[in-house]
Amino acid sequence: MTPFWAATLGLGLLTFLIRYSFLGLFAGAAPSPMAMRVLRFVPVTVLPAMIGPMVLGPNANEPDKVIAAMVAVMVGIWLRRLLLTILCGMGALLLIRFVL
Amino acid sequence: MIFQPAFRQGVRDALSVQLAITPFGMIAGAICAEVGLTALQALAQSTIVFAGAAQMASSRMLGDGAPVIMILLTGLCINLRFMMYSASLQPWWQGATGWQRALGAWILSDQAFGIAINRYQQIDEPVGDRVAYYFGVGILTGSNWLISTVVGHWLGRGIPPEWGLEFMVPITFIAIVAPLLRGRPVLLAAAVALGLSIALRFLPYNLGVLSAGLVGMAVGVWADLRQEKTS
Repeated sequence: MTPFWAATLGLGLLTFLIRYSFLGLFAGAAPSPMAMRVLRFVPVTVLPAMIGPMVLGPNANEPDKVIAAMVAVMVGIWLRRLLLTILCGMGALLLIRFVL
Repeated sequence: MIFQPAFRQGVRDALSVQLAITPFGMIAGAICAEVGLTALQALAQSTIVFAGAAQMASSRMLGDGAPVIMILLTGLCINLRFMMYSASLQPWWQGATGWQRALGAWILSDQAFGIAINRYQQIDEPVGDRVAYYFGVGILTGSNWLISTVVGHWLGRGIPPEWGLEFMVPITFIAIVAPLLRGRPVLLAAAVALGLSIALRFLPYNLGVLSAGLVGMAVGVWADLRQEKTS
């Protein structure tokens, strides 16, 4: 099996089991308060951990991306609207690149 | 199910978010082309894994010749958030059938979860309608996801890099995580994870992301327990 298929089938199975966990596998058992406490911290740590290197890049010489990301963070925290946040972040990047 | 009004409402409520799903899928497809995967492999990846961030990490790591075990570990870390979504949906899905749970799990995404849970908290309706609404959101989003990946693979490097389309990926993550940033333990955990991921971004095989996420989680749970004790 090539690495592509090993990675894809492995990831597919793993991801399905994660998603199916409380909907199917343990459908009868509510997550314990401690499990829920830990799970609540997963998106708020894993997503920022992915955002950091993507915005800064290996050389940290792309200030336009950093500024656009900060615009998106502020809009997202204040207005809590998914699409609006994305449009403001992308808009800020394109504005800096093509207009300013 | 697709004739239920709740299903159609789900499709309608998910329409605007497709503006973000389409470029996201196209980037996932373009990365596949970039690292030498075929269109069929891109489609297989989107169908089987069905998780953009993990797919992009996987494609990039395959391109770098990373060991499969590191790809799986990274994917596990990136996709662990779906377990929280799964647990949060559980009480609303009491009485759903087995195939609904299995199919629903397969197409569970940040968007399907976010849009559905928002509706559940606002409108009290029977479980059949809740499930139908979820599938309205999920099936539109999922079909768009598959089509966009193939289109992205086809366009490949035809997309000019200065348009910054790849920047859609971190921006989408920011838009997903920002509304969740409430309370001091959560803010602390997010700040630790972000800071560490930047400091450790030169580590190979996404090890920086993995360790930043884990340390952030531990700090968050610790701060949460401490806050509870003192309050």
